[in-house]
Order: sequence, then C-alpha cells, then structure tokens
Amino acid sequence: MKFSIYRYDPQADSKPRMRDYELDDHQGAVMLLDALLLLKVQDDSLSFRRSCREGVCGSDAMNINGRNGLACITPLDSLAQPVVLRPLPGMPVIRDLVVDLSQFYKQYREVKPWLINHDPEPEIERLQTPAERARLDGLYECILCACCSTACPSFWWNPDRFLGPAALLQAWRFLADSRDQATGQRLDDLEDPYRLFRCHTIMNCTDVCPKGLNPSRAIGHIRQMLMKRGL
Amino acid sequence: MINTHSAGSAHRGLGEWMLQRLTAVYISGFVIFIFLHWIVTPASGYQAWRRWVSSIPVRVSATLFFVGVIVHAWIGLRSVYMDYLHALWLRIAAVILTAVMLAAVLVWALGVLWGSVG
Repeated sequence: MKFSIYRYDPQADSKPRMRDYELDDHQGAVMLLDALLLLKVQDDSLSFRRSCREGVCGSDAMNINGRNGLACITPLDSLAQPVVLRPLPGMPVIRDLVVDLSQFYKQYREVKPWLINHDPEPEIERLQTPAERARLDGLYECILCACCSTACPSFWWNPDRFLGPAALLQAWRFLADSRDQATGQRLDDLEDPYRLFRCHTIMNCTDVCPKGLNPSRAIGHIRQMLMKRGL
Repeated sequence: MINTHSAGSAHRGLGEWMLQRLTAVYISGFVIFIFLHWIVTPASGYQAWRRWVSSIPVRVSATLFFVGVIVHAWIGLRSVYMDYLHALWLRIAAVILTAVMLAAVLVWALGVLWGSVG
C-alpha cells in the first residue's frame, strides 16, 4: 500500500514536504491507524496523535485523501492509493500530523460548556422527562476531534472570531438542556455577526463529522431560538 | 498567530440575518410573479407594457423589489467583506464604496420607475 504523508519538523525543516511511504505487508491491518502504527515502526520520526483506537477519544483526526476523519475508524480498503495524509487544515502544525488545537479549545470554553443552574442542588439528581433527555441526543456525543471546525471555510477565514461548528453544537447542547437556566445569557453571548453569524450553512461540518452529528442543524436551532426571542 | 483574546459579543447580527432571508423571499416571489404575468398576459406592444408598469400596484411592488435587491446585496457583500477582508481600512473602504454604489443604483432605479413613467 502506498502512502504520501505530510512531514514537518519546525526545528529541522524550513518548510513542510510530502514524503512517500510503502507498506509491503500490512499484517492484517484493517484501519488506517493500524497502518500508521506499522509505518511508525519503519520510520519512528513520523508523528501523529492516537489513543483509544476506536473512535471515542478523537485524538487521531487528520485530513485523509482530502477529507477530515479519524484514522482509527477509516477502513484501509475504502481509501484510494496513494493515501494522502495531511494535518487538519487551517491549524498551526506542531509536527507532522500533530496540530495545535489551542484555538479550538478556546472556542469550546467560550460557549461555557457546562450546566448552569442556580437552584439548590437536589439530593440525588436533576430529573428530566424522557422527552427532555431525548433532545440531547445527537448533541452530547461530540468527541471534540475538530474534524468539523477545521473543515469549515468560515473557521479558516475567521478562526479568532467565529466560534466554529464544534463549539456551536455544544452551545446548542446546553441551550436545549431543560436543566440549564442560563439560556438568555447564552443567547446574548452568541448574538454576534462573527461568533454565530459567520456560519453560511456550507455544511462541510455535517458532511465530515465521524460521529454522524449535525452541527449545521444545531446552528439553525440557535438562529431560530434567537429569532423567537427577538420577534 | 493564534489570538486567544475575545472581545465578547456585539449583541447584533440577527436583524441582518433575518432581513437577508426576508428580502430573498420577496425578491424570488416578485420575480416569479413577473414571469408568470408575462406568460399569462403578455403585453402587446410598448404602450401596453408601459401602462402596466405605471399602474400604482406594479410601481409600489417594483419599488419594494429594488429596495429589497439593494438591501440584500448590501448585507451579502458586507458579509463577504467580513469573511475575506481582514485589514480594517480595506474593509471600511470596501463598505463605503459599496454603499455609495448601491445607493446610486437605487436612486437611478427609483428615478426610472417614478420619474419618467406616467
């Protein structure tokens, strides 16, 4: 199997380059991450992040043949050769396929991704009806792999001001939560030409999400909620 | 480099977003109405067409159409500038130039519609 992998070591290289690799015997490797681990045996300077190897941690997000995805749940036989691997687009590269996600996490923190409830804490738990709980389906499953935000052109052009699909999905997750009491404050914080309204419904986010979530729809719900409040 | 500083929310943007949708609906409705009208009752000759255009309902709805197109273009172009023009002076220059141009087009269109027709 042939691979072409983005290599960059800022301490040694003046600029990034693509390096070709070949895996003669892929020893039963099924997923792309398995192949990457075998390539790392060939060349231990090749750097990438990985942890759970089953699509739960979101560490091994990368650009695979031009499309963001998780290496650990991308079957090798689904990929055209040579498999071109690049770091997530639009992010500062630390080394090879490892990118600096500080901006992404900063955006996540901006939407206060935690429950805000001022009532006295109940003895056991804050109850929800099954219907209220069901509203969180398709929202809480986000693993923060950054595939969506780094596929979003609006995020590429204004990463410092647009919150990006991942953070906005989480913003909606807490707006939709029946136990949360900060709805007004959250909407105030989102109502901004850049923070929310840079989204032009391009839908790259929904297209690439490895968990099958729909940030575009979540952003639509936020706009609807703002509209209902404003009209 | 990464800018981790946030200036918070400007607490606006919703009005423009809604106006963009509203004008889009009106523009498409008006265009469909005009085409259907042409197909169903084609004006026979210039004088008939002129009479139709100078009727008050057509003039008012066409005025709304031109205002809608200008507002739609204004919000849309400003949005494009916000996406791509990051130098503040460049964005302000583009916005001013666009405002002058669109205002001129609007005055021209309304002049044609209300001035010479009648």
